[in-house]
Parts: sequence; C-alpha cells; structure tokens
Amino acid sequence: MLDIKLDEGDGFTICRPVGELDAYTVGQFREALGELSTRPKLLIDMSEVPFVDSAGLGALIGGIRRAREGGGDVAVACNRPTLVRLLHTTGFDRIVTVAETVEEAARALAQPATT
Amino acid sequence: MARARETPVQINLNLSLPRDESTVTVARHVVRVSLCEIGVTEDCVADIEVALSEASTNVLRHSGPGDAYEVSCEMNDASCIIRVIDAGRGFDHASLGFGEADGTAEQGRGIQLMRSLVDSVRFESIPEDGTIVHLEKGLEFTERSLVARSRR
Repeated sequence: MLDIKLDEGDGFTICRPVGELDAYTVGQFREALGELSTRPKLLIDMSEVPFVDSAGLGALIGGIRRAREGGGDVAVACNRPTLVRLLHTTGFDRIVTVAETVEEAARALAQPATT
Repeated sequence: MARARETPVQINLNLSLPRDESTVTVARHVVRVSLCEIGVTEDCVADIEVALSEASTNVLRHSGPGDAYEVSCEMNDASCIIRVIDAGRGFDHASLGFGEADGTAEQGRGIQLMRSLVDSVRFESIPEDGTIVHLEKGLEFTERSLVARSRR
C-alpha cells in the first residue's frame, strides 16, 4: 500500500510517498502529482519508498514534466542507495536534480531556475 | 560442526497467482526474501526485484484473458533464473517497446530497464498458447553469506 504525505516547506511543497511504487500503486502517486502540478516549487521526497519500477519512474517523470510545463520547479530527494542507483541507471538524474537530503533538494529549488 | 561443502544451496520456488496487479508485489517479496536469506548483495537483489516486477507487469498487461499466471524461480550459488509464465493468448513481443524510450516519456522503459538490470531477458510467445518471460542473472554474495564462506 502507498501513502502520500504532503507538507509545506519554506517556499515549497513536499510530496512524500511512503510505500512501494509499482503498477499497482502508481495511480495514487500519479494523481497526487497531478494535483500538485500548479505548485511553483515542488520537492518530491522518495526516501520512504523502498521499491520503484518503471511504472513508478514513469509517474515521477510525468509529474515533473507537468509541473515544469506550468512553469514550476521540481527537485527530488532520495537517500536510498538502491533507488539512487536506479535513477542513475535510467538517466533520470540527468532530467532532474536528485539530492541525498531534503535540505539539499530544497537548496536546489531555492536557486533561480537555470532554464 | 562439519558442513557438507559439496552440497550447494538450491532454492526452487513456484508461485501460482491470480491475475491481479496486486500479486506482482507478492511474487517480488517472496523472491526478495529468498535471495536475502542466501546472502545475495542488496544491489543484486534490487536489480532482480525490479526486473521481476517489469516482467510480471508486462505479462499481466499484454496477455490474457486467463485466471492465473505463474512465477518460477530457481536460485543457487551462481545464478537466479526466473520464468513468468502466462497461459493466456500470448503477445506480440515486437510491439512491447524494444526501442529506446525517450527520456521524458512516461511509458515504454520497462523492457529496456529489464535488459539493463539482468544478464539475459528472453521472451517466448506462442500465439494461442501462452507467453514466458525468462530472466537470468548471475548472483553476487555478501562476504558473510553462507555461499561466500563455503567458497573459502
């Protein structure tokens, strides 16, 4: 089962999925990211997600794309080595900032957008 | 106590599961626990877990109708072989997105991902008969695992 926690940081919204992200649970995550797509600064914290497959990655990428289309900025925080490795294998870390901590991801969001 | 070193570890699992996406999690967890028990490294377990998830999800999406599908998994001190077997109508694996997914596409990276995580991915599809996805990966063991210790 997947649980999604939302939190407001200093000038950004934190979306924190808790649980495994696969084809079975991805709908909920996709929906949450859709609702957050209008936020100017979105931090997705994946630190409590022990498993992600291509369904989860697809939802993450879709969420990031929609947020950016609306002019928003997105960063991802993740301290799980296996997930960080997967994000690197799939080239995901070239699309978005993947920081090890929420603080670091928040700093990336605080910087003026480079695009 | 003397160990029978000539006897290698061998675990064979056979799962028969209802065709429901929630059972993908079941197969994944059962395989994970077994691999961890024999001391396979976390990176190696994680790779197999994702590949199995992709294979099962693909089988559920592209085949059927049918009531069940099967996951068989054989692991020993060298490798792990997984077969995801669907007795549905089979699918045209040429249509499953063997091509490169574009970097920001939401779908189509499952098979690409499987191929990058395990040593061998093979599809066997017999129209009107069924589909088998074969996955194989050489296993790496932690220093303290039974397998690593018995190799010394």
